[in-house]
Amino acid sequence: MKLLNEFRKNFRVMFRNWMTVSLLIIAPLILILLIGYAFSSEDVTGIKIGVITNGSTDLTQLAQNVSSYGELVPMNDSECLAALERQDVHLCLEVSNLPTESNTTDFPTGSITYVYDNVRKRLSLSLIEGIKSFFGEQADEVSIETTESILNNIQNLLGFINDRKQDVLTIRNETLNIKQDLISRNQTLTEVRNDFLPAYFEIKDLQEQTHNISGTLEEQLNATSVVVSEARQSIASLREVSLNYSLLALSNVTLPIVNISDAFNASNLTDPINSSPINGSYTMGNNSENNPFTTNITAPTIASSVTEVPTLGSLLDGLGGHLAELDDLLNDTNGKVSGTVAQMDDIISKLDLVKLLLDEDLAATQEYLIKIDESVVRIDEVSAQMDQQLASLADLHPGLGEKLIKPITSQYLVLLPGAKNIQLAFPQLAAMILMFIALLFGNIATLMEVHDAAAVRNSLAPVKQWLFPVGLMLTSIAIIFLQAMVLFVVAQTMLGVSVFAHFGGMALFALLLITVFVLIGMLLAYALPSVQASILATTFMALVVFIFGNVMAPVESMPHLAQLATNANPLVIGQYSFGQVLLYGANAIGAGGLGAQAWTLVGYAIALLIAVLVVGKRRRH
Amino acid sequence: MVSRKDATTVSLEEKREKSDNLTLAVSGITKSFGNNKVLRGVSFTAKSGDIIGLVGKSGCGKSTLLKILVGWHPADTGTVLMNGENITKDPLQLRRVVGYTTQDNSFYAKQTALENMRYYAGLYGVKDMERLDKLLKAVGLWDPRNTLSERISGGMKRRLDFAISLVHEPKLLILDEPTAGLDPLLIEQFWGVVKKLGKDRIVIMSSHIISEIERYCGRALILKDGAVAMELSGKKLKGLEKEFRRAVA
Repeated sequence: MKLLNEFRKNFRVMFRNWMTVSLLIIAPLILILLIGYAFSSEDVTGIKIGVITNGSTDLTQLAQNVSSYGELVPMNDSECLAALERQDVHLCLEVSNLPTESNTTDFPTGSITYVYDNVRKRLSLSLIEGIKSFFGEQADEVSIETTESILNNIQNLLGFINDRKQDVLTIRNETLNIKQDLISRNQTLTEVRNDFLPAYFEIKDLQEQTHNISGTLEEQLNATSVVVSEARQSIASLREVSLNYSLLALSNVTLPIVNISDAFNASNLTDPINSSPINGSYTMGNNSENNPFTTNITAPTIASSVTEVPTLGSLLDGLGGHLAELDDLLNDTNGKVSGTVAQMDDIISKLDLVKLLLDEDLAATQEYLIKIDESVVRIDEVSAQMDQQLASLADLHPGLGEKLIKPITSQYLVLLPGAKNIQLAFPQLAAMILMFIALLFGNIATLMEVHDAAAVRNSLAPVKQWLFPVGLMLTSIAIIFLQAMVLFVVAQTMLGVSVFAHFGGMALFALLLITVFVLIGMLLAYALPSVQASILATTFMALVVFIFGNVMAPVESMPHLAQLATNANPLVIGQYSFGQVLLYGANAIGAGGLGAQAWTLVGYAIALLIAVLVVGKRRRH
Repeated sequence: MVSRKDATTVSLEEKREKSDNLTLAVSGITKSFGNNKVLRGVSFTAKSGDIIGLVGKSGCGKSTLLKILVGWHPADTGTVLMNGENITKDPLQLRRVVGYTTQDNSFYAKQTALENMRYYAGLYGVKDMERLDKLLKAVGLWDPRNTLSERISGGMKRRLDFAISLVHEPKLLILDEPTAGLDPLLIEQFWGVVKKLGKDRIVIMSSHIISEIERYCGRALILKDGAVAMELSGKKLKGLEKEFRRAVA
């Protein structure tokens, strides 16, 4: 009853104070409505993008693309930067040589430079993302076309190479055929050589024999010439003797009988051909009818009487004539033999040449066969490599263009598809609004109570003194909770946030969050004696809570201690809980729910209430 | 079984009925704040119908004594016996028998007179709304009972403050400079109410206005250096200012 009494009194006092009503009740409601209005649309408008071009780039398409939310403003670079600093434009875009239909080359390239104000980073990056997406699509298209063209050329090249590869195989096969021909030729040459060699060697032997015979014959001829010459001398002597005998005859002188055969036998002359001793019956060479060298020399018996001198002289003359014939014959034979030997030598030298050519030809053929084998191996290797390369390139068809440009396709799947930005931001927004309102309301309401003249009398009332701060707390919570309900209605109706589908959880955490921050505000009011100090401290506290509230920067980017502080921040717990309930339908309590968060806030509330009661009591005293 | 609280209440209720026998005995009250000894053994007695004025130089301990009597501060030593019972042992009980009229119009400006009365009646557990209405009538605030307190006149505010201090029918009324800032007419009005409603009570007031005490009080205690330097009553009260000047010189 007394709490109800307190409750009613607080309501009256608060709602009859226009300042309180204006600042603590109406203003937050207006703020909530303004938020609903301000964030009801996600459309961006009034964007100005400064564009710096070299005149060669057609941006008609881009202009059409941005026309729904802004416009392109042609500028030079210094103008654009100045405008960006003044925030007259939101972004400066420097483009050059972007591929268009008019300037498409085989390999079109271009560049885009984005200059943005990082003070307005979020908006700027959002704009850049949109434009990049536009250009990215274009760039992708161009790249894909170019790549398809390149791949097409590659395919043509592959076709050409494939054709040449067939030529190579043809050459290979022809080479193998040549090789076979060479092998056959080699075999033929070998057979020819094999047939040739025996005859060759035979002829070589014959040549040697002929040379030997020729040498011997020449020796024999020389010897025979010597003999003939000696015989001539002998004849000359005999002629002289004959003459003498004639004279003698005239004078009756008797000469010994000389047997020429015996003389020949005693001369030890040999047949130059068959090396047989020249005797009374001498045959040069073989005894065939065809042997031009056959001659018979029969050494006559020379009469020994002087009376036969005149016959001797004629015999000597005959002998001399025969010797001369023999000499001529020998010379002729020698000449013929020499000629024949020379011819044979010539023929044999030609045969030598043939053999040499055969050998060289065979060697060359072997060499060619080896080289052909090596070439074929090499051709096979090259062919295999070509096959390999062709196989690896075979899959490069123009249809792959898109895949090459985007080898790794990225998909961005959001956890909450279709969620508007305001829906995603509402948990944070709601927590912040309730935090600010509760903190300030709790503080100011308590300051009003503490500094009210009635506080003196209240302190003398026969009641537990916790009645007043608790009553104030409950009153503040009730009023702010009503404001929270207005916020939820605005969210539901104007922002499209389905708060009422999760009303239980949202209401619970709103209540807990409000309680915590009302108590913080009350604590600051009790702890600090002056109104100004208290309000300043409360404002500062709100700022600190906001800064460490996972709003300015993600908590993960903070140092460790700051992270701990931020994670323990009731605002952060409230934001998280709102988000879980609203966006993911988490249960506020129960299994898998947000029990930990709820109990944490309850713990904070209890601790703060105790602090408020203790500090409040001290203040009264 | 009667609780201690109930027993105390019953005894005080009985004592309320025997208003003529209401006695207050303040004995040896001392109080220090740190090294500053503010009260050094204040002692006096009073009975129902007494209107006692406390005078003294600033810092002599008047406010402290009053705060002890209303239960704000506990005394370091000494006793406050009402009808022989030490009322300072239980501060809550003390507050039930003590009414306090402040100099600052200690009520909610944003509540009407009636709402203030009913609010404090609620705090004191008073359920007799008719009595509250009578009280408002007695202090002359019946007509503006539904006017916001901030909008009533200074004199009305003083009377409202006084009326609130009577919501729970205290037997001991402490008036802390109740007429500060009021003009003589309003002062007279105020004292008219006090005399009417305080006759069955012990009224102890503090004031800087000597003439007010001389005129409206039956006894005067001059406090000096934390103790009662002089007590005047009856005709001697007329020389209060002289005695006061002599005492504080």
